[in-house]
Amino acid sequence: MASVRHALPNGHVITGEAVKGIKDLARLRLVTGLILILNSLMGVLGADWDIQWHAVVGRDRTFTPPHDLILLAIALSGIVALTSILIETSWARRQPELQAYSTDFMGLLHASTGSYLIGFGAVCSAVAFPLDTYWHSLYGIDVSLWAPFHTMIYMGSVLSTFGMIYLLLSAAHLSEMQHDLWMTTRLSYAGVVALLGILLSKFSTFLTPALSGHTIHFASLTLSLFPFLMAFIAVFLCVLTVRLVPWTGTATMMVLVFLFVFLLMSTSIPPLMSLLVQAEHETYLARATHIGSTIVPLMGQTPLLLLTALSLDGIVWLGRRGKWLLTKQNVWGLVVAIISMIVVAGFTLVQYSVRQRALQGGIGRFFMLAFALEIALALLLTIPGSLLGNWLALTISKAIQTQRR
Amino acid sequence: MRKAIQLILCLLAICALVVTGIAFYQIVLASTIHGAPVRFLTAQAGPYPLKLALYNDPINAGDAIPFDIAVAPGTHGPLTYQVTASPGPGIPGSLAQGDVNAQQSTPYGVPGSITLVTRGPWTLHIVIAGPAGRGEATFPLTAVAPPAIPVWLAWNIGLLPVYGLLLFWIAQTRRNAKQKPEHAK
Repeated sequence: MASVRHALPNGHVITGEAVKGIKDLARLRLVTGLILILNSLMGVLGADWDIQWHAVVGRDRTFTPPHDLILLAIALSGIVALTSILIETSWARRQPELQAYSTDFMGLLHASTGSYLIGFGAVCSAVAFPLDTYWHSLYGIDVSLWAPFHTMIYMGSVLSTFGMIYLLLSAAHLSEMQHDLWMTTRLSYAGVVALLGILLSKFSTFLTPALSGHTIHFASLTLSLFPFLMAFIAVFLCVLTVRLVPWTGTATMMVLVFLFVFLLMSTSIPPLMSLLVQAEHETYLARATHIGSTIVPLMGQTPLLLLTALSLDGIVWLGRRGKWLLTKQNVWGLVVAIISMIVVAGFTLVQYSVRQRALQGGIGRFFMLAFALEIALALLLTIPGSLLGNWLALTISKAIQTQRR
Repeated sequence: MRKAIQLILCLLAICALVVTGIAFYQIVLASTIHGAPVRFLTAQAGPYPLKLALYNDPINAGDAIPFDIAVAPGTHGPLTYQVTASPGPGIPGSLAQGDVNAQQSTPYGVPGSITLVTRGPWTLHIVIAGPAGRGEATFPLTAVAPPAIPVWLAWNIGLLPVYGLLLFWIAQTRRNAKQKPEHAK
C-alpha cells in the first residue's frame, strides 16, 4: 500500500478543540457517504429498471417512474454533496486548523475532494438527461445503451461514485488518526467496499451491448469486445479494492456486494415491470416474447466473477503471509487475474453465443469451427484488458491513497 | 492558475445547470395547457362526431403534447376515451399511450396528453365508448425535432465526465510525484 504519511499535516500541533473538529469531520464524511450509498442503490434500481423498460416495452415519456428514480438519485446526490460542502466550509471558517484536512475551492469553499467530484458527477448526469430526450427524438427508441448521452448519464454517476470513495477514504484516514474512532474507520472502509461493488454493477450493466452488435470484424470472423471490457473492468475494480482497503479478502467482499445488488435488482425489477405495465396500460414488444421473458438478461452480471476475486485475494493473502515483495505480489496477482478472467469471459461468451445461435437455427459443423475460433480469438483480448485494468488500478490507487482530504 | 480553472469549472457547472433547468421546465410546460388551441382536427368515431384541439403546431418529438377531445353536442351519457399513437412505417418507435382525464373539461373538451417519442409521421388513434356504442377515429400527426448535432460532437459531450475524471487523476498523480521528492528531502 502506498505511503500516505506525507499527505496530511501530521507535523502540526493538534489542540483539543482541533481533535474534536477532526472527529466531527470524519463522522460527517462517513454519514454523508452512507447516505449516498443508499442513494446510489436507488439510482442503480432506476437505471436497471429503465434498461428493461426500454428493451421490452419501449421508450415512453421523459418522466416515467424509472426515469424519475434516476433523476431523484442524481438530484439527491448533488444536494447531499452540496450540504456536506457547506457544513464543512462553515466548520473550517470557525476552526481554521481544519482547512488542512480539506480541499480549497476558489478560496471560498473547504470540503473533501470527494464532495466536489460527487457534485460534478451529478451536474454531468443531470445535463445529460434532457440531451438524451433530444437524442431519442432524433433516433428513436432503439438507441443502444452505448449512445452518447446514456454514456454521459452513466459516466456522471461513475464520477460521483468515485467521489463517494474519496469521501469515505478520507473519513477512514481521519478516523485512523483518532484511536477511539475504530467504528468510523471500519464503517468507512466497509462503505468503500460497498461502493466498489456498486461500481462493478454499473460497469457490468454498461458493457452488455459489447455482447451484441458492437463487434470487431476480422476476415470472415466476428470478434466480441466483451472479454476485453469485462477483464478491464473486473481486474481494475478487484485490484483497486485490494489496494485501497487494508483488510484480507476485500476483492471477494466487493464481488459479494455486487452479487447482493444483482439479487436485489433481479427480485425487485420483474414485479415493478409488471406493475408499471398494468398501471400505464402498456404492452410488451414482440421481442419480449422472442426472448421468452419480459426481462432481458444482463450477461455481464455473472456470479463467476467470484473466481477472479477469490484468486486475487488468495495471492494477497499468500503475499502477506510469505512477506513477498510488492512487485512479486503484483505479478502473481496479474497472472491469476488473467487466467480467471479467461474462464469467466469464456463461459459467459459461450453461454450467450450458444443461446443466440440456437435462436437463429441449428449449429452446423462449419459454424461450430468458426464459432470456436471466434471465441478463442476474443478470449485473447482478456490479456490486454487485464493488463490495462491492473495498470490503471495500481496508478490510481497510489493517487487516491495519498489524497486524504 | 488553479483558481482560474476552478472558477471556469464552477461557471460552466452553473451555466449547465441553468440550461438544464430551462430544458426541464420546457418539457413540463409543454405538457400543460396554456393559451388557446392552435389547430383543430375533426373526424367521425363511429356514432360520435369529434373534434381534436391541439395546442402545439408543430409537435415537438419527446414533449408530452396536450390536446382536448370534444364530442359533438347532443351526445348523452358518460363516455370513456382511449388514446394511443402508433409510429409510421420505418419510424423507430413503439405504441405510445395517451392520458385522458375524463373527469375534467376545458372549453374545448376533455383534456389529455401524449408523447410522440421520435420525429416523423405518427397516427393518433382515439377510441370512444358510450351509450351509443364504440367508435374509433384516426388522425395523422407529424412530430419534428431540432436539427441533429454531429455524432462526433455528441460523443465528445457524452464523454466529458470520463475526460474530467482522467484529467483529475493525471493531475493528482503528477502532484504526488512532485510532492514525494520534497518529502524525501
